[in-house]
Amino acid sequence: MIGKFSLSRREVLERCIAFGAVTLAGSLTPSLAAAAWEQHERNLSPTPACELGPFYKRLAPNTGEMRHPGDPGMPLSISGVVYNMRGEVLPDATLELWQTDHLGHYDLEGYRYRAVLHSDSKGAYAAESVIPGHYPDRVCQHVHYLITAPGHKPLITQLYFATDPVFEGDPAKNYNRDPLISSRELVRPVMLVGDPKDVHASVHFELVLEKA
Amino acid sequence: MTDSFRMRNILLIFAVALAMTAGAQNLRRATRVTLPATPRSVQFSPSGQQVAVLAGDDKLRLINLPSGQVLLAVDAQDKRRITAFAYSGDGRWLAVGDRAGAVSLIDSRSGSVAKKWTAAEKGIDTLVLSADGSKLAVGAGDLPGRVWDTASEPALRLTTHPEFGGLTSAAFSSDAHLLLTADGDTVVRLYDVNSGKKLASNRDLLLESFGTAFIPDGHYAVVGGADPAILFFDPATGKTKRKLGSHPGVVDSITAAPDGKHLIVTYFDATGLTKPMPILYWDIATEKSQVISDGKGVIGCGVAKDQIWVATAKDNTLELWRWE
Repeated sequence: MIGKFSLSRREVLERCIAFGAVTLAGSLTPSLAAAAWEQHERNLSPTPACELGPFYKRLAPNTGEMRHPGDPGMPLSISGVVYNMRGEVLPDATLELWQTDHLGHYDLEGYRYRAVLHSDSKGAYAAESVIPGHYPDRVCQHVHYLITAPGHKPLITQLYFATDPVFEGDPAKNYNRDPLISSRELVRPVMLVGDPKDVHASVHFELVLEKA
Repeated sequence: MTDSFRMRNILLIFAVALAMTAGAQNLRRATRVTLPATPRSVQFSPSGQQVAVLAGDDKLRLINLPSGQVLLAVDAQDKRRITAFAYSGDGRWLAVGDRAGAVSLIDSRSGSVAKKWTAAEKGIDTLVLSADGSKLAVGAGDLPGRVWDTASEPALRLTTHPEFGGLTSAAFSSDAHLLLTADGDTVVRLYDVNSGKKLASNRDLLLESFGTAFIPDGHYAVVGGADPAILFFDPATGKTKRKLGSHPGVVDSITAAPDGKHLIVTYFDATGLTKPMPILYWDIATEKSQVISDGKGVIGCGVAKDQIWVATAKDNTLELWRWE
């Protein structure tokens, strides 16, 4: 991301043009193209918000290990990076994640499938869980997020899975079958990883916070 | 669900069944009304003279009690679905909120719209009118709660200060000087309505709350939701004074009985959200409860003129029951 490399976007673009890796349309000069590129990179849209939901619980444990050994359900690795709207990573973000177990039950008595995470120096976060279940009154499988970072507005949102049967394989068309899904952007692709004896799902969810 | 939680539920169901067979008080049907669509939710006017019913055709009907005569029907305007409605404590005014964030203040006697304004930028989830109808608390999605002064031209009086999340429940003190709020951040707060200042807060609950009430003598404010106990706290300091357990599900609403000695508590089922849950009448002093209803078919419950009412719906039929 911006700030991590020694060359500016303009210098990278100039080198790419020189080596033929990038071709500019006739109406674009290298400086115009670099300026437009930088503008795009520095203006990320904030991640769409989504309802807090009724089962947020304060004081969840500081752990990325929401899944315990032997837990039933499809194992799930969640990862991502927290950015500000300029595209800079936020290393001091706190993320609270909560979800149902694989059968669609929230733990109200304890803290199963609830976690507090902190982004690292690269803004990255990661957690191990299971694909949450469906439950009555709520159409789609989801993971709740509450993200806070100094100087930024708290973000409350939800992560959805492109593999959810509700979308019938076409989340772009069917995401609004769940009236709470405010944006297609919240439905993330699912990658199946591991070997045939140990397949698990992996989802990457990048988050962009607005300045307070 | 843990084994202890399951066992607690089994014991509670047993206690509920026992109380039902004991049958100290019973529900008696007062009236039955057939509507053009399935009734979905109701609010009982505290005056005891009418009930507002929202049905599947998105019309809000005002129905006379106890005759069951439909007095008038309020249409959802411009396809803006009605999402919340509430009576003032004197029954004179009915506030109606829609999914576009507009609120109408309706004279419940004439049905005329006295005021209409945009009270929030999102669909209205929560509406609470003060006893005299001069203050209106509004919750909309994850937005902070707002209190509108409705005595003259609607004016914003107070915006609440949750750390995150919106208003999940609110109650006015009987003189409308205090506002009790439960927010998505699980913190309970008390505000001075006139100055807009936050007076106290309570962080003893870990999960969200959906029921709030003042005990009429002003001694306690009460709040309950997904936590295992209903909290009684001092409205002056925000400090917890006592707790009331064991509940069959998540507290959905709390109404203080007019005698100041009992609470009427409705619940929803956290594990399925569709299972009928009992309505309980809690004695604050003894911490014992009686079953008002087993919850089957129930779409609302309220207190009207010192009388506890329950509304049930089946197909297009609304039945109103008195607990006596």
